[in-house]
Amino acid sequence: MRRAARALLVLALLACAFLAWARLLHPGPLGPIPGGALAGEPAAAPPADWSFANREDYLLVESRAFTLPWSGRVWFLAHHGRLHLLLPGFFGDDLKRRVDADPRLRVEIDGKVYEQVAAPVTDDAEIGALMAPVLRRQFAIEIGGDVRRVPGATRASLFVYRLDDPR
Amino acid sequence: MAADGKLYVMARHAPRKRWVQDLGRDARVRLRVGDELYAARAVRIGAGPEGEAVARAFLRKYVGVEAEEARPLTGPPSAGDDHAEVWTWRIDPPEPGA
Repeated sequence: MRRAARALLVLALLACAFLAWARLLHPGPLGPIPGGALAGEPAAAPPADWSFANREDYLLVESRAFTLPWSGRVWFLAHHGRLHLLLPGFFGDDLKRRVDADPRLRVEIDGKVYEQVAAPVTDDAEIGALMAPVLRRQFAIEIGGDVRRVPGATRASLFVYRLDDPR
Repeated sequence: MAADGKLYVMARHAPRKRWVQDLGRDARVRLRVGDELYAARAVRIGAGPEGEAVARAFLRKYVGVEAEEARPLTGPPSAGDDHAEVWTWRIDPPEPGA
């Protein structure tokens, strides 16, 4: 019994050490596990049209809102040539908390890191147009017609942010 | 989620999930809601009005939006389509004697 408890303790310590290593030392996220600063090469200038990014499932995003750099892989969509982040409340609000504290972000595509600044999208028509392809792809639901936010539905929403060049 | 007074459960990437495979072998389930444990039976639903009502309930609960039209895509995606395969079950009372 004591041997089993000791083995469990060792496993738990190893898991904690692995998570700490990923969070503090790994460049960028490790799959779904958040990591530290992105390691790509800083880009000279952002592309005029981000549509090419839609071939990726996730965008790698870094925030430095709090003490340690945080990076994660995030649902996104390039729409009308601009990047948009889609942050589902039910997967945790790590990045939303950070973006609300400091909207400056870094995103990585093809080994290049771009400086961006996030702004929340609040217009119902724009949210509907952005959500339609995401809901179809991720949840197999096709939506149409008018789309509007449910008043007061802040507990578990899909939050949408548009990214812009800070310059 | 609940829609029209009935309880539903959903699975994304359903064919890959172990519990979904188990459900295919035996539809009897036990659910815990709060401190209560309920015996029940999971009945898979497809498209149609019931599927649309569940899609609407899902959008309200998990996405925080209402859409004029909401249609679930049932069945596996066709070639070149990359939507997730989502299966939905209605939770019914257990069969008598089960």
